[in-house]
Amino acid sequence: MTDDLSSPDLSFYLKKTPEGEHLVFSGELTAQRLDRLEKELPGILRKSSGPLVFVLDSLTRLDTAGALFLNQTAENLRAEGRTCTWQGLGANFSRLLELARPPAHDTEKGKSCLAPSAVVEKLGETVCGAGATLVSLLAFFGVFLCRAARVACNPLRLRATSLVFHMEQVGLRAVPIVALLTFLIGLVVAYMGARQLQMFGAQIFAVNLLEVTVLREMAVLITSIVVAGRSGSAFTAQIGAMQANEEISALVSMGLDPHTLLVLPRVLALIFTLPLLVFLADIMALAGGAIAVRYTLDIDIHTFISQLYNVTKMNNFLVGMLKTPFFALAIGLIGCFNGFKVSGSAESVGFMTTRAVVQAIFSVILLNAVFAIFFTSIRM
Amino acid sequence: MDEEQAAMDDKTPIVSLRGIRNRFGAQTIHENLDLDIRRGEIIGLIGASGAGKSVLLRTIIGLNRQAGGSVRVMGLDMDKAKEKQREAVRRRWGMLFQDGALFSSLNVGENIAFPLREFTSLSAALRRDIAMLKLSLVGLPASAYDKFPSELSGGMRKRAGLARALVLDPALLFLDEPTAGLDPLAAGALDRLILELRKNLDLTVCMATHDLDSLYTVCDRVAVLAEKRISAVDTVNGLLRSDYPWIREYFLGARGRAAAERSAADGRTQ
Repeated sequence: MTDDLSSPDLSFYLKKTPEGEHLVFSGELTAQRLDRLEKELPGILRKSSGPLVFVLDSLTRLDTAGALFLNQTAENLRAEGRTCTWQGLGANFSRLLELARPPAHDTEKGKSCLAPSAVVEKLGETVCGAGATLVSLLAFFGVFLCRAARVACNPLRLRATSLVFHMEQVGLRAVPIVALLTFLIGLVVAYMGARQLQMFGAQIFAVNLLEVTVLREMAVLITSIVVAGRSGSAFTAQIGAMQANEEISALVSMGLDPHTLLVLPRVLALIFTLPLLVFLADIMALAGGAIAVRYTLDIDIHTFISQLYNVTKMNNFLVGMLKTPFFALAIGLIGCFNGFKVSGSAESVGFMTTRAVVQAIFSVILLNAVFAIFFTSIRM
Repeated sequence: MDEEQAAMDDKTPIVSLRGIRNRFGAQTIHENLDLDIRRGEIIGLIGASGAGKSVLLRTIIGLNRQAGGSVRVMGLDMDKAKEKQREAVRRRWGMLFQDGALFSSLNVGENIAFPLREFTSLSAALRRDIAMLKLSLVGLPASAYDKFPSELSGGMRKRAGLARALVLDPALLFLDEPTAGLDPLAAGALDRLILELRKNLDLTVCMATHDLDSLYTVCDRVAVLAEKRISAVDTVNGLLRSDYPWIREYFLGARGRAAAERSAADGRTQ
């Protein structure tokens, strides 16, 4: 029998009788058929006055949504001073009408969001939140330093397996993508530089340009951003999933320190491998540049190398390399920190991972700016 | 619907499974499984962990396509029916998943009103009122309306999930482990709520459960899933007389006896 799937539609009309007006319903009065009634009933009611009888004799089905609507209608009419009565209530319908009492109307919430004061409030909240995050990140950094010092006194405490594993994950596995990206960057920098310098007949200086941009800034920055996206997010997701699964709490309950166990190997792995990755990036970017000038300016590889040899002072290379451990530290700490901030739900793992990547890239670029000023002022 | 047909309807089972076979890889979960769920009853589905209770529920509501056999719900063969008819059936059932399965991006009220928003064109105010009503029906305070699922306790999430399952007043309600992870008081309250809702809303309920107290207090009949099929369907007292070893162990173990004593004591005090 499929009849309760194809039951009759709802119909309703107003009938005037000597003892008052009758609102007659037939068919199904359920949530799915209620929309027409909701739209048309106010118009029908406006045409009527005086006592009203709801006639439900030929109603085949009533659900809580329908009962709620009938109750509300009756209540509104009573508020206007009209009397409402029911006719044809079976045991079932009267039980439903009893059950579906309209909820007490509370004052509408949520609308105050648009008030100007709420905007200021939100702004204040955001600023305070950012400040609090910064403070707890610093606290996290402090804990990390303490644990690092303790491990430095007793290197056997370091989880060597974990360290090597993470070095493979964040270092070795990142080689292809870092190599490819920096190769392309070197190619583009040399190509664009050459095109501009050609106009002055100074095309050989494209090599100088390449040397300073790539070794000093580009290779470091691109590598750090890729690593922040690759490994910073992975740290947050791993630690966050452990946090959501109460694995961190389990570690603490066993008297183990999650910082030594989880944070230290990850951050150290980044500090050890990021300089290596940047060194590789330097080579790849220069190789990309060499190929670009070879095909646009007809400067062959030997001329390129001798020119590079003439202009390269160790300065630019060193500046680039000196920045990397700090970037690694920032990326690793921010990744792990956000992992620990995950609360319970799987949703917050995703949210925190996104935040970690944004914060890590932001801090890398910010630190880079600070270093630029610093190294210029010490004339390096 | 005239009287005669209504009477006939009452006799035809609302869900009827015949020869169901489910297989995951080389492992057979169900083989030649038959089950009828009568209109208006509360049927419990028990079985050892991994016996395939959840899989069976998922098969009935079409989340898992069976490898063989037929599923008839409300008289409709779910595999042969047209998409439109199947959709109509889907709107006449509700499912409460183990942890509520609330949409995490919506607050509780929006979660409950979600089926209304999708399937009806009611005004926002009326949707809100209906959601509010269901919220109070499952025993949640009005203050829960604006909360997000992550801010609720496990028991509250289950109640909110139940409210969402009930919002279109389904004829058929599936519950997957409704009392798992709840404290005994909350579990007992949920049991009473299910009985109450059945009485008021003419529900048929099918619940997979491990909770012996629920079986004693709520279920009219209990279906035992063992050896890849439904090996017995009976009232709890009927099953107690069964000489099937797994069933005897299940009901006559220490926990089973304690539940029986509690239910007997409840019976006396009432």
